[in-house]
Amino acid sequence: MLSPAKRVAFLGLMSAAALILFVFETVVPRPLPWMKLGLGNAAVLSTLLLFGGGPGAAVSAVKVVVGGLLSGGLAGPASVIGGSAALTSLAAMIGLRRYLPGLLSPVGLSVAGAVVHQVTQLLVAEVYLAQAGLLRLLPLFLVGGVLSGAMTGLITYYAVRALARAGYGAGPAPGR
Amino acid sequence: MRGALASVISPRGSVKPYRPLPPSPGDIVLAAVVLLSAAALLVARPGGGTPRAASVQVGGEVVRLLPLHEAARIEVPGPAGVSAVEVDGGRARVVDSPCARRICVRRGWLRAVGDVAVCVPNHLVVRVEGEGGPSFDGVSR
Repeated sequence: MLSPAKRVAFLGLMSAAALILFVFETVVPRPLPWMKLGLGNAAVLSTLLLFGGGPGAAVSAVKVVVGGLLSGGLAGPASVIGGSAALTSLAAMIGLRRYLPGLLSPVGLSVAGAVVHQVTQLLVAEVYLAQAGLLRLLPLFLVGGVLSGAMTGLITYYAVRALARAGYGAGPAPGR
Repeated sequence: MRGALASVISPRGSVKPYRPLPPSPGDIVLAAVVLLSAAALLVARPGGGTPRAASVQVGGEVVRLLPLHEAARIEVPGPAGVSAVEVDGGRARVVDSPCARRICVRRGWLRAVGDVAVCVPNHLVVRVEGEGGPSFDGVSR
């Protein structure tokens, strides 16, 4: 295990990684406003796997709040929608890992998180922006969630493996 | 390098990778369930209302209501110039627009109730109206 100081330093590092990936993604052009790869989630999920739910939630919160500040849209629709989606997706990943350990690999957890993220986004946008008709995009978003979730999940898997070998985190211990 | 780093930061770090490894059976089942439900949503999408007319709005006001059963081509003046809207074969579309990016034209044919083409520079909205409401009214939440 890491000392508390090293833990804090490592979580700061993961928060910074989540932020950089998040902001980088907002700059990359994309076909629809909500079609993102979700690379920031790789940092959140890595932290979640290595250190547990609380630290994962902290990195996710930093991503949403500071990311919102950096992209200039804090408290705007994008942050409200993205924030609520980040919350439910985090809850899904923590819940699946804790209560169904051994069922999903990091890739599966990432896919589950991405799909929940997408569904939440559409539901919140439908209500919050009163944009009737967004739900028609649900099938597209589900497929997008599986693909992007699998990609960030693979990134997460290799990151977690390398970090665990380097002595960070608690190693496997699913369900911790 | 890796060994050096590990020995500095945590001499007794755990070296076990996370289990289960991808792709685990659960992963595959999860992906299959999500993809199948996406396909089911696409197939089972409710038919929705019957398209009746295309409403042409400029600046939020309906300037023309074109019945979809008769072919027509009209010119619609707006703040940016004159856009052309066409109805043919029960469908409607924006044929020509003075705007730069011509997103409204590239939107193509509008068929189902609730389909819209929007030209922001010209304040133009073309929307398919009909009975029974837009097709997404049948989606359950």
